[in-house]
This record gives sequence, structure tokens and C-alpha cells, in this order.
Amino acid sequence: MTVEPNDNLAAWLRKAMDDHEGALLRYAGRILGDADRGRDVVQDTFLRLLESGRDLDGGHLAQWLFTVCRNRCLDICRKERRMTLMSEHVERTYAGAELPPDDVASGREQAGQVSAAMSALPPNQQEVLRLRFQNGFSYKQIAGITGLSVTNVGFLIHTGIQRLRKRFQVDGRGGRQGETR
Amino acid sequence: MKLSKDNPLLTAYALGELGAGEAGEVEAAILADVSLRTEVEAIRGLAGELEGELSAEPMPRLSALERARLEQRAEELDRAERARAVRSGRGLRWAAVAAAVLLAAGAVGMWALLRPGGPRETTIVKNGPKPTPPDPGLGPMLVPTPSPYGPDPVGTPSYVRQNDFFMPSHPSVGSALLSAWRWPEPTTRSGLDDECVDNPWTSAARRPGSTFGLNVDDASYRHVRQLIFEESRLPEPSAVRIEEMINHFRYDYTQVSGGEVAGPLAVRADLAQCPWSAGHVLLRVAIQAFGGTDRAGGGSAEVVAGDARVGVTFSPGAIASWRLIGHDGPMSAQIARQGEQIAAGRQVTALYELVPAGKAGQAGGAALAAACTVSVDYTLPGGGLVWRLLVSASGPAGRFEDAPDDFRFAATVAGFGMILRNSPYKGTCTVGAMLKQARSALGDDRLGRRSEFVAVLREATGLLPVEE
Repeated sequence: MTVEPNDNLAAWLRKAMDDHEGALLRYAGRILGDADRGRDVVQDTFLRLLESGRDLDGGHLAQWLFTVCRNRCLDICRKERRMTLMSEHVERTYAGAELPPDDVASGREQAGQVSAAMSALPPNQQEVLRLRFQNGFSYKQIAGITGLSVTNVGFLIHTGIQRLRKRFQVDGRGGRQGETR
Repeated sequence: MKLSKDNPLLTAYALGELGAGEAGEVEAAILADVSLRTEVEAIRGLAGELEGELSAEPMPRLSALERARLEQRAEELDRAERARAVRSGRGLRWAAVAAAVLLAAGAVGMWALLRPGGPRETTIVKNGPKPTPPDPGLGPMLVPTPSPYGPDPVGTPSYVRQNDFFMPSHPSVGSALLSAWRWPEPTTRSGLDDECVDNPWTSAARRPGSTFGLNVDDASYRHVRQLIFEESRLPEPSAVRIEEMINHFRYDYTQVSGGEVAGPLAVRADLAQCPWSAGHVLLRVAIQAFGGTDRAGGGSAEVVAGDARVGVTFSPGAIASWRLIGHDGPMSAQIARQGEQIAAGRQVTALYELVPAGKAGQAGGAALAAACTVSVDYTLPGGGLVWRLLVSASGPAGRFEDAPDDFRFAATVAGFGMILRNSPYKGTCTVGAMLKQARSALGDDRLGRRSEFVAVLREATGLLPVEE
């Protein structure tokens, strides 16, 4: 551990929690499909942070927290057989499944349509899209968190956006022209 | 450069993910094909919508209590860190000594010396100076005991404080134990693999050495908890793995930590009177892995020690027989004999029940001199030299009620596990007694897991036969 004599670990932890606990709770809850289990994992993640060091700053800290949190979630998923492994999802994505035409987004008029349509994408594609557009991680950071290659991450984000665009036909100025088949 | 609309580079460009070189090429392609510009704008449009929608999703927070528990933990670590800085002189001494152990071991692979076939007798050098009196105020569990390994090389007396983690204290430690230690043979109970058979009592004279697996998960505890909470029924006895129950919980093993100076692992061994069998003694072995230095991106899988194996040696003069609680079945013995990798932050807790030899340990009063010696051998990531941590536990075993919360809690979980397994070794364990014990050993319970265990016990009370 690299610890400056005058460091205050509790204050540093408080800052880390202020900055990241919400995003981590959202992330863990989504992977596990269970907000309460997610809370357990997020607390565990901060505990590990305390016990394994604090020579991490800004972006590195966020990436470290998401990586540890994700691994803990996957440990639980594997044990409980709730989720198949990432590699299987990758195959599904590469198989090029199109969004089902009508079952997800049709008839929704309020905000949240695009993110609602996301739920029809394979889980790993949703995860990567969220890490990019909800948590602001770069391709490289997402690769670090998920263990995918940067190329894989780029591919998942690219095809994810393409599919959502097909669903909503978003034009170049951010406006939506209307849903199309 | 010709670019198709299906090229992921276009999306990467639109999202600002490309370096100057690639971005320049994409820009050139866009200049040549105006439809690509529309495409980029469309991608940015959808990205903007997604960002907007996703950022509007509700953001949960940890509760004030959850945060307070974590902050309390940080404050404890802060205090421990400051205390350690004060002791840094001692730490450096450890490092020097550890290096000496390595020199003593030389370039010869230690394992060659450790394989079966070595001398059977456990000989421990006993030429240490008289110990100083116990530190005042540390309680009955913190009695410094003389090191069985001789004087410290830098001239100060060396002590084996049974409640401290510590590093090897003398080069002779290595050679004494190396010549004495042999890996235990696996228990041969062929044909019983699928049955629910607890580890039996073993005579220390016949077999003084034991080991257990270091990479224990907690799947069995989760299973037990789910059945009791959600289905209101008890698990099959064979589905209950006591080591997985004990190791579901986190314990505070960082008071005297390793850090950079003392290496990635720490080990401690404690004794206390056994709460379910009068005259017996419990040995708790606790191992804590600390973090490395390069953590970013490593995640929870960061390995801080490799080829790790634990060896527990019982002195036949002090211990008549021993029994490893949990880790039951021949597979466990096989696994434990293989060196394992240990990840940062991992904790391992194991409990042994001991029968003191002769009249030793009666009423917990008699001495159990150098009763048990625990060694953990490991290599640092990248391999190379084998490092050895050694600790010994000596009596008298204090009253169970006076043992630390962590010790009592782990013993309580083990007791409940034995009840669920309907173990012949459960002694006087009852759910009622475990409930009482658990409530008195909650500690700071910063993850709330111990309180949850109390709830599991309460539920189980109604599912088990009525106790007398």
C-alpha cells in the first residue's frame, strides 16, 4: 500500500463513495437482476478497495471499482447459474440477431424509448452500451472492465447503435423522425 | 481510404474514440463521401439520446448505515496503518529475517525437502530466552509465548505472540520445520465419496500434520440460507459444507498487517476452549492476503501469492488427537495438497478441534506448550523462491467466552454447520445455544451478514426437532 502519512482513508473513501456508489449500485443491480444483492456486492467492492490500496485516481479508480464489482457479480451469477457466460453472449451478438420488430418499443411515446429498446439487445451489448453512454467509459476502459478486446467493444457499440437507429431512424440532429419497421 | 457505413471505425470516430492518425483518415473519407457525414451525425444523434435517457435513470444510493460501516472500517485501517508505521523498525527486522530464511533454504527447492519420506518426528528447537511478561491489558487470549525457534538473529528476544500475525523469526525456523514437516497422506476412505462423512479424529502421534484447501468459496452457505429463508426447509446434510459457511463471513485479520515489508500474506493461530465439548480446545487458523501494488484493471482476480499450501503440525506431547472441522471428504484432502493461487483480499479461516494430551488443558488451565505450528508456504507472482510464514499457538487456551468476536462467531457458524450435517462431533451444540453465541459475537458487522446469520438461525429453530 502506498499511503501518505497524512492521508485520511475515511475521507478518501467518502469521496469515492460519493462519486461512484450510485453508478455501481445501478450496474450491479442490473447484472444480478436484484438490487439488494447488488448492495451487498457494492459494499464488498468498497471494502476490497479499502483493503487493497488507494493509489488509484479518477478514471483508474472508476475502472477498478467497476472491474471488481463486475467480477463479484459474475462470481455470484456463475454459482447460481443465473446467467450464461459472457463468451456465449458474444456469440449471440456476432450471430447478428436483429431487434424484434414490434415487441419492445412500439406504442411508447414518452422519454426512455431508446433505452427501453435496448432491453431487446443481448445482455453483453446492453452492458457495453451502458458503460459507454451511462458511465462515460472509453472503449479501452470498457475493454479493461469486461475483458473484451477494444475491437470487440467497438463492434458491440457500433452494431448496438445501428440496431437502435433502425428501430428509431434517428436523424443527424438528434431528432427522431418517427418509428419505422 | 474508403469507408463503408457498416465500419465500426465510423462509430468510433463519431464518439471521439480514435487517435489523431485514424481520425484523420476517417475525415478524409468523409470529405470524399458526403453520405458518411450524415451517418456520423446520425450516430451522434442517437448517442446523445441514449446518454440523455440513461442519465435520467434513477440513481440508488447506499444507506447512511451502510456508508457508516464502511467509513468505520476505513478509520480502523487508518489507525492500524499509523500503528504499523510506528512499528516499522520491527517490520524491517522481519524482512531481514525472512531473507535469512530464504538464504537458509538456499536455491534448493523447498518442496523437495517437504515430500513424504522425510523424518517423521517433529523436532522443534527449544533454546529461546525467557519471555518478557505479557503486555498488560491484552486479555487472556494475548499471552506472549516464548518462541520455540531460538533467539532472534539481531540479538533481541523473539516472541511468538499467539494473537499476532507474524513473519518467520529465525533462520533455524526454516531448517527445523523443513526437516520435520511432511505432507500428510490423504485420508483413504474409498467408496465414501458421496456420503456425508465428517473428518474423523486423528492421533497426533500417528499423524501430526494436517492441511486444508485455501480457495474456499461460500456457495454452500448461500444454498443453506436460500433453503431456510425462501423454502422453509433444511438442506440435505451432505449439501452443508462447513468451511464454505465459515468463509462466507468476513473477519478482521488486519490488525498486524503485512504490507510491502512483510509480504502479501499473514497468518495467525489462536486457541480457545471448545464450547461444545468440555476439555477440548479449538484452534483457529486465520490467513489474510493483502493487496499488491498494480491493481488497476486487475480486478478481484489479482493474484498475490502462488503455490500456496498450509501445513498445521500438532505436537504429540501437547495434543492427543485433532479433527479438522469442515473440509470433509477425500476430494478436500486432494485439493489441499495442491499448491493454490491466492487473490488479494482473500481470507481463509479454518477450525480444528483438539483433545489435549494427558491432563493438559483440563479446565483450560494447563499449558499446551507449542501445541500447534502453522506454516504457509508460497511463491510470489512470477515464481522463484518459496517463502514460508510460521506461527505457533500455545496454551493455556482461554475461556471461549473471552475469545475475540471473530473467533466465537466462526465457531458458532461451525456449530450450526455440524447441527445441519447431523455430525457425530457436534457435542452439546444446539440451535438455541448457537443463536445466543452468534448474538454475542456480532462485532461491528459492517456488511450485516452476521445479523443475517442470526435471522437464519432463528428461522432454523422452527425447522429443527425440538431441543431438550
